[in-house]
Amino acid sequence: MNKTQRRALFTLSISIALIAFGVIIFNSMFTPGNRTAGVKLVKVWMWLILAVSAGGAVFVYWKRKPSEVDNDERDSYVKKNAVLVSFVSLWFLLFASSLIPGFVVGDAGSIPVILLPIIDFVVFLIAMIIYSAAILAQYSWGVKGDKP
Amino acid sequence: MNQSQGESWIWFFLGLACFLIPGGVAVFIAYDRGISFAPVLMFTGIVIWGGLFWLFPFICDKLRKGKEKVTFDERDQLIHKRAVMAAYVVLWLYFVAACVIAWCIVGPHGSISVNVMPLTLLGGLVIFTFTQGLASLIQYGRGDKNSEKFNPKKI
Repeated sequence: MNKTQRRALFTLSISIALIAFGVIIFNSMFTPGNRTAGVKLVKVWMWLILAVSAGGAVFVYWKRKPSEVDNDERDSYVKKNAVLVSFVSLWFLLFASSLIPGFVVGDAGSIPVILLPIIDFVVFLIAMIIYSAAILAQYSWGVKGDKP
Repeated sequence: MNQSQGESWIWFFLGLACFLIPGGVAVFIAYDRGISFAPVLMFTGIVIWGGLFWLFPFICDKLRKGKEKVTFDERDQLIHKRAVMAAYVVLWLYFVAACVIAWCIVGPHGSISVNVMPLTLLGGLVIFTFTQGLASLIQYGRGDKNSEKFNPKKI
């Protein structure tokens, strides 16, 4: 596993952990009488995410061999394709996020303003998951032009 | 002025109007008569067309490969790539600003109409196109200056 793959795996795990964290917090925010449990959960999750981030940073930047190359042309090609996939998916996500609330609450409905940053953050995390998954998928399928 | 530079100018002026006018009409219809098939289809078309148009030069480049005439070379590709990247950074900043402004206007316990959401996305599309065109023009402008500076005929 090279550095690009490790980085993608790290981003994927952090993004999934943050989405899970957000779902639990969001759920406890709107459950009456569950605020205390939510606060305790936040502390536990924050330590968990901190540990994963610290471990992940070591995992990403640790060189197995001194001769290990940080980034070659093949990695750049893989990253370029992944960015392309991520950008395209981002538009679809933004489009969905602007229309779905209208279908859920109706034409004359409204949504709490606190939901806006949450929606943007979730869209960002999903785009990051797609980017990382695209990198890992390309390595597992074998990049075009990889064979000599 | 090469073809890409000309396209940048066209997009800078006409592109904004092409998305802004039909997009505004679609949102107005949705706001006036409620969400129905026609405005949603119109809005979908504009967002997909406008949002993915930055892929067009790359697709054209792939299709043109093999022909002798070069209209979109590696330099153009690099400029276009950087412009798209700059536009995406500005797009994210715009969405963050939209959240903060909405928060400031209605307060932390307030709420906003769902009809504002497509308008926000339309604004994002306009900002994206504008920034992309502007970034391309700035880069071409810088390139021209450099080429003038290092022009061997002048030495």
